[in-house]
Parts: sequence; structure tokens; C-alpha cells
Amino acid sequence: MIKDYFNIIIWPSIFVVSAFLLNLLIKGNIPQEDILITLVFISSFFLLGIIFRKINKAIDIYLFYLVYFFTSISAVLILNLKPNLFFHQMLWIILGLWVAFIIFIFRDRVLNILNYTYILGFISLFLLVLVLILGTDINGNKNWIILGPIQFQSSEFAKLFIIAFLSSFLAENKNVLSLPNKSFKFFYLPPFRFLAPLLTIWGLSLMMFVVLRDLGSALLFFGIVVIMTYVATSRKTYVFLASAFFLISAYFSYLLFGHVQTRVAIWLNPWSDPTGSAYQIVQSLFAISYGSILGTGYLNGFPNLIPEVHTDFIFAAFSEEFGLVGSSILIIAYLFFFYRGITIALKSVDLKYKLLAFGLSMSILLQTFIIIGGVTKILPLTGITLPFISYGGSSMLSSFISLSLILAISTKERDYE
Amino acid sequence: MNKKRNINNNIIFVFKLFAFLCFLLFINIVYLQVFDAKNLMENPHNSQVLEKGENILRGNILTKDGTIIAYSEKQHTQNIRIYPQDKVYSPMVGYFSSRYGSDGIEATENLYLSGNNKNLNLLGPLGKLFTNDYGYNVRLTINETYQNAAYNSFNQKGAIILLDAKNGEILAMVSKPSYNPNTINKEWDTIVNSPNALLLNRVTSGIYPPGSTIKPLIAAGALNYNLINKDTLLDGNSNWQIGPDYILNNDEKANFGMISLNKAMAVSSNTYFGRLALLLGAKKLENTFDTFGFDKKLATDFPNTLPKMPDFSELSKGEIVQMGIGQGSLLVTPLRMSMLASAFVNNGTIMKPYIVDQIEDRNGNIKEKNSPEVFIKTVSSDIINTVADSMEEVVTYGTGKRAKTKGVKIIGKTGTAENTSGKDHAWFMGAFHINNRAIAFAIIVEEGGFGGAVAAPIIHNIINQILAKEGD
Repeated sequence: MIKDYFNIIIWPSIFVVSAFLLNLLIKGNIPQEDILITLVFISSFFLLGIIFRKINKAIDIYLFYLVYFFTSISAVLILNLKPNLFFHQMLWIILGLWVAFIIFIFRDRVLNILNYTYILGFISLFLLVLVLILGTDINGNKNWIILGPIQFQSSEFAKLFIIAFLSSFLAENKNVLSLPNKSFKFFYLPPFRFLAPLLTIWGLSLMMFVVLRDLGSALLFFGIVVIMTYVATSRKTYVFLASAFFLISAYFSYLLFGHVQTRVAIWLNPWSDPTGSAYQIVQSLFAISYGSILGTGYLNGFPNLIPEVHTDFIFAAFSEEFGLVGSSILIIAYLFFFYRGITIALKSVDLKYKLLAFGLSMSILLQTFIIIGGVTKILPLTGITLPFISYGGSSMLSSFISLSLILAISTKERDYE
Repeated sequence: MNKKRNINNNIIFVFKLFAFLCFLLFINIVYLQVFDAKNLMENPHNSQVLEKGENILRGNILTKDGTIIAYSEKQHTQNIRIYPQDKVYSPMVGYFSSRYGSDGIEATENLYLSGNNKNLNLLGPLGKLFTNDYGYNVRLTINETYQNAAYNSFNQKGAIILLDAKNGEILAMVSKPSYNPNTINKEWDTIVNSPNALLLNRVTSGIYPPGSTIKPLIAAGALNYNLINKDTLLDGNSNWQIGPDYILNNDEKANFGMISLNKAMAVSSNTYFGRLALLLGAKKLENTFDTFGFDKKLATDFPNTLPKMPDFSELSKGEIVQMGIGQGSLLVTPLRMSMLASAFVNNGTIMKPYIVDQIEDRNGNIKEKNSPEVFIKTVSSDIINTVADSMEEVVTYGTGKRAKTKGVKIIGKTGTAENTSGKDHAWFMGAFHINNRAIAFAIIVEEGGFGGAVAAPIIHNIINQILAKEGD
């Protein structure tokens, strides 16, 4: 068992170490602290993987491998893109891993909070309203909350609470929410107090976009609510209602807001202003296409021509240097992460855990789809992160917490039918 | 239990949905990295390509015999582009500026000059093993002697093109006035705002009414449809009443009586050719232009403008006559007129004009070589010879006699094109034989006046300069 483990876990480690050596070769020197923290990174993953398995054999170890794969890519990319931020990023990754570990140890108690539906609801509401009021503008994104020396992206944590709330709420109320109603044959509406929380989240997502100009979070929250509700209730009504709501609010926000019009314009035709408002997406497209099939090779691209390359556009940098081959492997890896997540969800007996495992893994893939879609012009550009890879403490922490919860659920009672 | 199965089904459905979305992402990336890659790489805003170029010394642009027109040199930390010939080769060779992009050959051959090799790019990091530190050199078909001769032969606004009729090689391409590419960055505003259109390549993209220079085409058409032969006599007098408001005259209202093709061409009788156009009629006229490729796009190694032709089905009688004398809504480029001329010294075959001879690496090894291609085959040799004979008379004693040069056989046709600017454009197109070659040419002097007086002497000047340099 341990031998198999080593055989797999060794590869990302080799990847990271070779990247290091290449950097050393080409760039000259690497600060001692970077080397040390990388060693801590590699050994933490080695160690904790074994300990996770020892604690509970039923754990889905593939998720763990995948996260090591993603974070090692993050390490390799950030080392080249922003060497002065490398240490911080590694710190967050290691912190995230250990937080995941601790949560896992106390998993029974942690998963217990799913019983307190309305507390979860209020915390979600609180976090969202907090950021709407206190949100500070950093780099055009007002998603940040600053408390003294600490600054964090509140939406990353609000996302977790929303998913937890929805899992709890939908599990509890799904019978009511999916009751057939005799009055309207096709178009069905449940009692308002059940619909209210869903509407609130839709509304707040819209606010996130309008007030904070954070299209990414709005799309993400909206998508999470709609998909989870559909899965729990099997009612397409919600999907139709939500889509209608979405289209109407999209239409009106386009008419009313200049910044919306700009975004749509540069999404549909970035060539109309390639050196101005569409500069980011244009540079992203150039970088990605330059990579061609095999990529330019690590350290061979010109990713620093892309603004925000360590956060929003990190996929563009990866795609340039590792080409179509690398991009495909990465997308498949995220899809595989979702696959493992739903495998756990499908086998769960308890409905709350089923929905939680599904919701958390779905939100990671949805987030990935939104940001990759944005930098390749399938979707309008948004400011959300690529999970486990983009630079950012809040994002990394919340992703690791998601991982930990999914792993926790994988050890719960299973339905082997 | 049922509910659970339902939810599980939903979960699986959502998974399939996401798998499909991921597939869409994949397809889009394939499109970006494989199918659209070349387009994106040639986009002038693409600094990725520029950045790659920064590390590579940009290739040279040379004439056929090796004279350097453009080269790069490292000065301090930057690569500077130097053009030793100053204005002589602009705007054909173009300019290269990190701030203002590129134009001309610098633009169309940018990928080679900057050392980018798209095939190597596909190889990714392996390609780096094969990449040089130098861009490729671009050797043009241009002949330095011919180019200088053309450039020095006139001082007004206009264009000259000389090409080898047998293979399509362009030997000289001059557009005046032009700019000094060495100081493009400093003088950008002046250049761009000049009323003289300094950036315009008048040879390929200057668009003018051909005037009488279209008459050889009209003659070829009429002969092709057996409407006349070389001895047929038509009324060449002035004062021809065509419509209630339209009377057509020859130049200076001259009267020539009943004349045949040779005389009509030599004196450029408008009424003779107007009658030919009417004999042809709109449809046969249109077919004749098509036969000589005027509606066929020229896909070659430089951008060029397609001639503007009217809708032949809508032409009135008067407008058909106007077509016969090269006025009306017909607009051509000097390039196309030189191509027309080339048909008459190449047995009716027009070769595709091209300007890039070959791409070489720094050591002279040929990376790619262009070879001559046929553009279009027009009419039979007999018709060609008949028209060429009449064009020879133009130079021997006709309107183009100021082109006559001792010991050199020249055929041609003058043109004096009325246009909207007021003063007529002066044209002369044709071909001369020198050193076993047949050189087709077209010369236009904007608002120069009479073709015979202004444009024809220019070719005489050019040929003399060439003979002085190259001998006979």
C-alpha cells in the first residue's frame, strides 16, 4: 500500500524539484527561504497523505493526489511568474493542508454543523452583507474585507457557508420543495418561506455583481444555488425561474450600467479596443495561442505580458508554456476531481452529506469552468481564481477546507447498493 | 429510497453536463492553439511575437543582387532598424517600428524576418533547440539598377513599375512621394498627416482611370471576336455624335479619316476605339476584361487592389464608348496596367507578378524559393502580334515617340486620363526588350498632363540609365 502511495506521490515532487533546478539554472539564485518552504511543502504532503490514510482507510486518496498535483503546478508557475510572492503562496498551501488535516481529525464535530440550518443561513447572509457594505476595492475587485493587518476575500468563505446551508436546507425541506401542486400544471411554486432563502441568495448574487462588480462570484453563487436546488428537488421549475431571473437582470444591468456594457463589448469583440479595455483578454489570447500544441516550454513563454497573470490569468500562463497537451490534462484533472467528488456523493446515505459532497466538488469545477472560459473568451472575463492554482490565501484556504469536508464525507456511512 | 435514486440520477446528469462543458472548453482551446494560432500570431498587437523578436536579430531585406535595403544592428541594448537606401524603396519595403507596427515587406514577411518559425513553434520546447538567434533574410526580385533608374527618372507625384514579362519578377517598384523609414518614429505624425499620402504604395494600391492605355485591350477584344482585322477601316474623325448631349472628339479635335488599327493606335484616335467598343457591346466588353484578368484577384506576396469595374449590364451607349477610351467608371492600378502590357510580349500569357525571390538564413542557405506562376492566359499569338505591332507604331512615330530609344525595341501606349482632381494624369504603359529580356512597365504621373509629353520620356530616361549601367 505504502509503496503504491510513494509511486504516485513522487511525481509531483519530481515536477516541483525539476522546476526549481531549471529556475536555478536560468535565473541564477533562489532565496534560501524559498528552498526551505518548498521542502516543507513536499514533506507535508508526503507525511499527511500517509497519516490521512492511517486515520481512515476509506478515504478517497485520489482527491489528495489531485490536490498535490494542482498545488505543485501552482508552485512551479508562481516561482517563475512572481518569485517574490512564492514564499507566501507556499505558506498558504501548507497552512491549507494542515487546516484540512485538523478539520479531518474533528470531522464528526465539523459535519455536525449541517444540523443547524438556520445558523448556517445567517452566517452566509452575514458574510455576504458584510462584503457588500465593507467591501474595499483592491485591483478593481471590491471583494476584499480588511480587518487590521488581515485582508481576505469574504466571498470565498461565504461560498462555503452557502453550500453548507443549501445542503442542510435542501435536505430538510426537499419534500416540500418538490411537492407536486395541482393548481399550476407545469409552473409550480412552493410556499414562500421555503422559496425565500433561495431568492435571497439569488438576489444577493445579483447585488454582488451590481455593487461589487464581481461578475465571477455572482455567476458562481447563482450557479451553485440553481444546480444544487435542481439536484435536490428534481424540479426543472427552479431552473426555468432562475434562468428567467438571470436573463432579466442581465438585460437590465446591461441597459443601466456602463461597466456591464464594457464587459460585454470586450467579450464579444476584444479587437475593438485591444490596447485599452480589452488589453487583458487580448494578451491572454495571444499567450494561449502562442503555446500551440506542446507549449513553449517552461520558462520559455512571455507570461509577464499578461496583467494579473498570477491570479485571474494563471491558466493563460500555464497554457502558453504547456500547450494544448498541458491544458487538456489540467481540465481533465479538474473533471476527475469532480468525478471523485460525486462518487462519494452518490454513495452517501445521509442526504445532507450527499448534497454537501456534491456541492463542494461541483463548485470547484464550476469555478474552474468560469475562469478558464473567461480567459479563453467563451465567457466574459471575471475575477475569480483557479482553485488550488491561482495565487491567493483565501482561495487556497477555502479550497482546502472543501477538500477536507469531501474527504470527511468519504469516511461516513456508505450505501453500497 | 426512490428519492435517493432520483437525486443520484440528477447528480449523474449534472456530471455529464459538466463533462460536456469541459469538452467545449477543450474545443475552444484547440481552436485557439491550432486553428487560429497563425492569425493571432500575425496580429500587429501581438507582443509575444515581438518579444520573441527582441531576442533575435531581425533579418535583412535585399535586392536580387544582394544590395541591402534593410538590416538590424544592436546599438547599446536595443536593436535598431536601418535603411541605407533611404526613400528609394519606400513604401514597398515598408517600415518596422515597435511603436507603430510595420508595413510593406516588413509586415508581409514579418514571421520570417523575426525568426519565428511556426512549424518549430508547434514542437514547443523542442523547437528551441533548433531556433537561431537571427531572423531569416528576405531576398527580393528587385534589381537595384532598375529601381534606382526608375526612382531618379522623375520628380513628381506618381508611380513606376518594371517587371519581367516572361516570369513575373518585379524589377522595380517606385511610388513617390514617399517617406524615410529611418526616421519613421520621429516623423510619424508628419508622415501620417501629409496630404500627399506618403504611406500609399501607388503601384499596387493607387487607383486611377486608365485613359487611352486601355486601348490595346479593346483592340485585342475586337480582334478576338473577329469584329475587325488589322486592315479594317473605321472612321477616325472627330465630331462623332453619340447621344443628344455627347460628341466624341480626338485629341485637339484632329481628323484622321478612315484608318486601320496601326494608325488608330499610333495617334490614339478616340473615335476609332469608341466605335470598337460599340461593336463589342457590353457583354463582349466585359468578357474581354475578364479574359485579361481584370476581375481576377491577384494572390501574391504583397497586398494589392482589385480594379474597379462598372456593372456592364447597366451601361448606356455613351458609357460603353467611354469604356473604349478608358474613362467612365473604370479604375485600375499601375500594377495591373503593367500586367496588361506584359501579355503583349509574352505570347498572350500574363505571369503572376511577385516580389519575394527567396528566403535565406544567415549563411545564405535557401529556406524557401518562389517560382514563376501563370496568372492568366489571354488571347492567341496572332492577335497579340497584331496589337503589339500597332503599339510599336506608337513609339516609332505616334504619341509615344518621346520614348524612342536607339537600338531598343519598345512598344507602348500613352494615356491622358481625365479625373476628378482637375488636371489629367499622364500614363505610359508598354514593354521594351533589353539584354534578352522583355520588360513590361507602367508609368503614371499624377496630374502630369499629356501622357506622351510627360510619361513617355520617363521610360526613355530609365532605359538610358539602365544601358549606361549594364551595357547592351
